[in-house]
Amino acid sequence: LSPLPRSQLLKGTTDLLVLAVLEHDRLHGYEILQRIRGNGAALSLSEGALYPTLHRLERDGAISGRWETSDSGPRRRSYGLTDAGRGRLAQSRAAWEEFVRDVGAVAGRTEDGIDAVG
Amino acid sequence: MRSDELRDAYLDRLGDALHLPPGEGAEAIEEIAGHLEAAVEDSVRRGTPPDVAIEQALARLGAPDRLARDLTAAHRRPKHVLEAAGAAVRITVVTGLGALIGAWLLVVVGAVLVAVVGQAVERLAGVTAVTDWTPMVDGLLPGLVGAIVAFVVGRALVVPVAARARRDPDEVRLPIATVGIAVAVWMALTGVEAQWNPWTALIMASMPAWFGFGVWTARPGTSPLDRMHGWLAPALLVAVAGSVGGLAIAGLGSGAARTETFEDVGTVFDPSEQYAAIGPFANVDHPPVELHLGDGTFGPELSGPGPVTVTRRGTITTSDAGAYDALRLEIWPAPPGGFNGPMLDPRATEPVASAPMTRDGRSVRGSLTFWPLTDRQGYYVAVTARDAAGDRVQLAWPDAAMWTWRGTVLDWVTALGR
Repeated sequence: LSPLPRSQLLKGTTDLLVLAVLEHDRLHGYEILQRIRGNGAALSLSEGALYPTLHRLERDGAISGRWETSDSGPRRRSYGLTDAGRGRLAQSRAAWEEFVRDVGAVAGRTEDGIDAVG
Repeated sequence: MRSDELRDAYLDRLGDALHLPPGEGAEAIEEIAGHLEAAVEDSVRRGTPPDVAIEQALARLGAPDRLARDLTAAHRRPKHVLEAAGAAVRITVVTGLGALIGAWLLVVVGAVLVAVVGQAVERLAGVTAVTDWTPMVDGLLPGLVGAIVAFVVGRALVVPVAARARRDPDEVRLPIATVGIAVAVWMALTGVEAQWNPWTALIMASMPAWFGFGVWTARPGTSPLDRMHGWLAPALLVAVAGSVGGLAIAGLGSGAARTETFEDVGTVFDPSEQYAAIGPFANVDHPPVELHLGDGTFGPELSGPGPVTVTRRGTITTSDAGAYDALRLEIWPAPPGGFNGPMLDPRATEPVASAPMTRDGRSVRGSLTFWPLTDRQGYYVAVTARDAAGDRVQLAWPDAAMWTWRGTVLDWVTALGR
């Protein structure tokens, strides 16, 4: 039996990851990817999935995008969290923590690292 | 392929596969272009050759079709269905009006060209190439215009409506075709009036099919009108030049034409011969009944699918009014295609309608209602009676009721079965 692929574990967490890295900064797409990847090799978010996610979150009002021009190159679109997005981030975090706790309890380890099975 | 060519090819494909309104689509492509630039800069800074860096960046983004599909879906909201419906109505009205004007221009120029070339052929070669202009051609032209408009509107709708709905064009083809064909069927059957003949009916009946063909063949990319620009101007130029040239050639034989027409008039103007099927004229020089036709030589001109009512009043001018009895007002068919000669169809053997006329002293009056034939532009109106010898005679000068048969396809089909 092969272990559960990391991509499967990541599934469903893309929104949470994007909202989390935008919590304190306005970033453009490539920077968002860098931030997510910088936090661990496991978080290899697909670049093709990032932009549809950004556009969907913007459509839903969780983030706001705006074009920023620079003297050195073409304009780029940056994103920041909206108030609705902060609320959604808080809810997603809570749901994720509960999920990790519950999975940990069943899989044998709690979030405190104590073996719950043996 | 160089790195910038690879990037441009990817972005072009992305643009074609992205089904968003123009502004949203352009911004999405610009954002992806910015991402590629940042990714390549980052890779090159870490020592990757530029060509390899762009290939890697494109590979990480994935297939452009899939990215476009996901981006399109990410923009979709329920309200976009209404937005798409509004766009469909607007495009139908705007494109329909434009296509209507353009189609009429094309058809008129084409018709003039055919007529002029036909005239020229007749003058130069003595072969009659174009005959029976109306109602055959008059009925055909609205049908052609309807078919052209249906096709152009069908083609114009798909891509922009799909963009407004944030969906792939293949997803909106069926709904557009369903609604559009229903409207086209309604228009073809009841919405457009014309002088009908079987060819017109056939073309009008094909309007829904032309609309469906337009919807089916519409593809993202260059609009049909853009593609037309390449040949539209030369086609119009050839048509106009051909018309002018044909007119010039036709003018060469105009003297002969005048002589011929004069002789024709002399032949036509012989009531006794032309209308013998109805009966001889009782008195050609002084007809016993003089009809009061009111405005117009042949009374008021009428049009529509029918029924038509023809009323005639007259005065008995002869002193021996009692010599005639059983006065009747009769409607006889004119030749198909209009009056370019005798007002009576030479094949006619009986009237289309007939009613007795009432007499009040010297005044006579008759009225009758009938359904006109679809292929006639008028009817010969006769006042008949029995003379003292019991023979059937005509009492009034040749008269006609002018009638333009106009109606919808349903009217036409109904008239055929009547």
